Amino acid sequence: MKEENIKKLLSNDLKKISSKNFNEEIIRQLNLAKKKEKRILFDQNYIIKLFLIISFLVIVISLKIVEELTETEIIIGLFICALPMYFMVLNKIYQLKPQNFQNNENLN
Amino acid sequence: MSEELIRKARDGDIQAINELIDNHKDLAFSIAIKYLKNTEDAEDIVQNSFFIVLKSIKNFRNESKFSTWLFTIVYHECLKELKSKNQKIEYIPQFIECEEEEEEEEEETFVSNDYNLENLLKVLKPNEYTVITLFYLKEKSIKDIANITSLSKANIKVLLHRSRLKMKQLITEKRI
Repeated sequence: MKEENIKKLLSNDLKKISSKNFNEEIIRQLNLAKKKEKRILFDQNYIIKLFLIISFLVIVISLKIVEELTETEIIIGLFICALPMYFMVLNKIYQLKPQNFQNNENLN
Repeated sequence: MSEELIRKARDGDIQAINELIDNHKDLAFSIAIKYLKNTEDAEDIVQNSFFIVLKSIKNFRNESKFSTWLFTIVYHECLKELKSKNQKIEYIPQFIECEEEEEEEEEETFVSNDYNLENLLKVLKPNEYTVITLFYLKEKSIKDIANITSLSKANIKVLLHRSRLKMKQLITEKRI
C-alpha cells in the first residue's frame, strides 16, 4: 500500500474536537498559571542577596565586635540570618491567599 | 519555520500558540479517543496535555521536540486514565519481535476520496493507531515513537506492519 494512500486514509479519519473554546481554554489556563507565578511580594534573587549580606554582617559582628558570645546572642544572630527566609514564607502566603486567585480570574 | 513558531509561542504570541495547538490537536484527540472511547475524557486529556507542554515551552527549540513531548504526555495520560478505570490495553508479547517486516508491495491500492471513510480505521487497535498515525502523519521516526510509547523499536515495527496489513485488507474488501 502506497504511503500517500495511508496518509490520505489516516488524515481523513482524524476526529475533530467539538469544543469551540478549546484553544481559548488552554490559553486562559496558561495566562492564569503565568500570573500566579508572577504575583509575589519579594523577588527571589533579592531575598538570596539579602540573606548573604545579613549573614556576612552577623558573622563579622559576632567575631570582631562581640568578644564572648552568649547563648542568647547566638540565637538572636541565627534569627537575624534567617530574616530573608520570612520574606519567602510571606511570598507563599501571598500566593495562597484566595483573593489573589480572585484577582487573577478577574484579570483574564 | 517550526523554530520560528516555537520562538513566537515562547514570547507569548497568541497566534503562534493557536497555530501550534491547531497543528496537533486533531491527532492528539484522535489518539486519546481511540484509547478512552469517550469524547469528554479525551478532550480533557488533550487539553491538559497541551497546558503541560505549553507551560514548559521554553525548553523546546523546534516543533518536532514539542510534538514528541506532547504525544508522550497524551499517550501516558490515556494509559493512566485507563488504569484508573481498570481497563487494559493490548499487550504485545516479546516473541512477536521476530515477525518479519512487511515487504513493500508495488501493487497500487487506489484510495478514492469518494469512499465513506468514517470509522474505517475502527479496525485498528489503539496501539496500532497511535504508531501508524505518528509514523505517517507526524513523520516521527521509530526511535521517537519508541520514546513516546515506551515500546521497543521491534514492537513498533510489528505494530506498523500489522496496521498496514489491516488497512490494506479493508481497502481490498471495500473495493469488492
